[in-house]
Amino acid sequence: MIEVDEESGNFAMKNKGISSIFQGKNVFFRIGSVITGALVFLICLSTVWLPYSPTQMDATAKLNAPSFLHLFGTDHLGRDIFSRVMEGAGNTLLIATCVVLIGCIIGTLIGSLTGYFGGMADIVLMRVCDSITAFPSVLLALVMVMLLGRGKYQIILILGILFIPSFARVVRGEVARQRNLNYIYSAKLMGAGHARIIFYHILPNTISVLLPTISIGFNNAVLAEASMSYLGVGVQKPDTSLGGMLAEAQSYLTSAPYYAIFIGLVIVLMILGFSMLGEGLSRNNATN
Amino acid sequence: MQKTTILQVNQLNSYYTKGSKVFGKKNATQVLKDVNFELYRGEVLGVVGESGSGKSTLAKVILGITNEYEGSIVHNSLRPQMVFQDPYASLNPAFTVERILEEPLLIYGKYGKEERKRRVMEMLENVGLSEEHLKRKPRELSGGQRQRVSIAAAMIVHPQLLILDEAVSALDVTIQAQILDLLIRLKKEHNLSYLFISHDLNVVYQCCDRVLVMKDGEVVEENTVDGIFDKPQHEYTKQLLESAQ
Amino acid sequence: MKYFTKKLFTLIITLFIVSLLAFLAFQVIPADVVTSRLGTNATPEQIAIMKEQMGLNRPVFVRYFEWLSNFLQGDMGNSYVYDMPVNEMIAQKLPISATLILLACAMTVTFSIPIGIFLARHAGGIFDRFMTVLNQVFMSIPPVFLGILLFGVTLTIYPPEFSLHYSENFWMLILFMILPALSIAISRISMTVKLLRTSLLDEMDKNYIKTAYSRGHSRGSALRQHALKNAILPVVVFIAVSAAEMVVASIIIEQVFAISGIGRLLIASIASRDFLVVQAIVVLLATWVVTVNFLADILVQYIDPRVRLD
Repeated sequence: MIEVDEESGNFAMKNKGISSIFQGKNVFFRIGSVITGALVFLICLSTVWLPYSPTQMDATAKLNAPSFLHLFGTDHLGRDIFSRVMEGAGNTLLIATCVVLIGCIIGTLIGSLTGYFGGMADIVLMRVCDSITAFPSVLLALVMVMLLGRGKYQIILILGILFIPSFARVVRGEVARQRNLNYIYSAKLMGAGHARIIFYHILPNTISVLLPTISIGFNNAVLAEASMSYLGVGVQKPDTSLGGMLAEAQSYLTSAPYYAIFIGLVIVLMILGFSMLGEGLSRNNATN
Repeated sequence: MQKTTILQVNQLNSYYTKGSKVFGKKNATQVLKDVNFELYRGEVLGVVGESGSGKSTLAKVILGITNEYEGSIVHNSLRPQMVFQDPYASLNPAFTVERILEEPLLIYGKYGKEERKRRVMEMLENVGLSEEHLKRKPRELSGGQRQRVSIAAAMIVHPQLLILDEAVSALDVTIQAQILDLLIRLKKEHNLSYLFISHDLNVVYQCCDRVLVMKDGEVVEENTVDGIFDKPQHEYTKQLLESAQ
Repeated sequence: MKYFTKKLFTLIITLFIVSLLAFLAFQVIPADVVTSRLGTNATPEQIAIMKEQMGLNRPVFVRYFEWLSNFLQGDMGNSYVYDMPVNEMIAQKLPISATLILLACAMTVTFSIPIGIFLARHAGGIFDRFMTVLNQVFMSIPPVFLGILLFGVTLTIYPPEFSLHYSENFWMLILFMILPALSIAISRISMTVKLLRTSLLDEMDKNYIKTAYSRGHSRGSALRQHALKNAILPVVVFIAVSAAEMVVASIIIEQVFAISGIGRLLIASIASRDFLVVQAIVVLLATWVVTVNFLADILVQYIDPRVRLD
């Protein structure tokens, strides 16, 4: 918003800040938030209520096509696909949230410290981060699976660690940029210690850069989790996971295509929602 | 009249190093060469020169923002503060005006909530702003208003020395005048000393008592403001005065 | 030249580090290197004997350098599970994976450049906006799912005997690989198209294009003859880097299409704890990724010496 000052005709800066994203016509953000919001809502709902129990088998109703009884149809053991998909999506969302949390918190910590203090540690850590990001993450994840084993918690740890560098980089860049700005000098002159400066003065200004990274992080986390579970190294049975279900559904591709298609559709929607959210957020940053 | 020295600078040299220290290559450019001066209580000492003359570096070195210098800097004042040129990058965009003014008090830590509020309001009114500005963020203020906030934030800790680095250069002429009046009033009320850095000689003439002229990191002339303007000694000073006309 | 040697030096150091880390990860850290070979019923004496035989009691660096020197000569040891030389196992599967990835690369280049140019030419039009949406969707479809869908297509379109004989004839192999390669390529194509379009539009805003217009160029010819040369640079880098990324996607796609390539071997070996195979494949793939990135850097330097990717 531009404010004309009566004193002088000096115009205040046009920088609108992050709340402006709700006022503008940012299509990506709007669609992204609608999709993501709807999915998250459905998933949360599914934790308290589902049409069928995800494990309830009905031998008489194997591989039924979608109907009013079973929205997505039934699988090869007679279980309701919709309920299973919802539970699997819940698992995926949970894993993605944990992964992003780990990556974000630790990455922000590392990034802000190295960005602020610089020096040898900064150079070394950033090289390490660069090497990790240069590597295909799935490859690294597979290696770590071999060391740590498979399962839900292992995959959270592994992916979490692999996501740290991208957050660290982003935060480091922003902190290093702000470190030399006048308001930080002022804070130092007033006697603020390093910790106070980093956490109270600098970090609040990094939010606009962090949000798209977090969104993309969710995007990639869902993708990675689905892929790893498909390959059999992620969430293990009897836990439901979208990737694992996809692997099972593949065998029935010709006889019951809806099985795989609905699973895939949900995965695509999750990724689409987050990526559009992220796109919208970074476009908002660009116009500011 | 006793003249108390607020700041004493002797044989100050400062270098700017480029190139990574890891490989032992240091391309050092000398930014300040053998600077000597004293600043007395209650006076405004102007520092003029073109950009690149070392004025800003002088300010940063004196306040300890940049550490690399040789020579001695003796402070005889409490909590020196600085007001910067650029009204836009001087205030934390994430803070409200209230928070900006409260922060120095929070850092100091000795004041209760009521006391902080009182001091913030007092300083706010002192610089010519009002309660409606408290909840605003810097992006919602004009350049003049931001400088007022910067000044208030600097003043709230009751410093004795204030360094103003091109503090009015980015403002319109009418606003400049208002801010200069504010600064002079504050100086009288609180018996402050200013180190007033500027490239604008007209502004310097209006508010300074003595002046240092700097070129390429050296002080080429030092005199009272009238002395500089009426009887300039150094070639460079004469050039500056001519181009200001 | 100095840049080249510096980068080459970094490359070699990185490869060393990678191989060392892989060695540590698969030979030193795991506790069950021996039991995976002998089986879980092995007695402690058998384990001790095997350890001695395998030379596991020697210092780490000795073992590492022995493995490394063998590896560089082509000897990757023997599989714990199959007791076959690892290099034979890999050599069988490598051509297939290589074909897949190269085909995917070729597709990326062939499709994304014309489409990108076309979109930049008609930017803002209906087709452009449609494609932006389509792009976003394609970028969100995981290779896993796309692979499965196309696998379904394969099952319906290709005759059943096809998959049994595809490895005999090169052209049949290519034919079979089209859909798998497409699964890998589509999301990269989307990203490349988007990048090229943005890059071209940025170039078109510059002054030398306006000069071109004043000399009579139409939008299309100005784009093709002038802007393209400068805009292509980030795209070239992206495609080169994609070659590295596609390795990952190919692992998954091989699984989907049951293609017996390196990726499938890797997954199977992880499951059966066949350490030496996994180690060899990981080192090979890592070498490929690092080398491709290196070549991409050099290529960029060659095209535009002003850019320094330090």
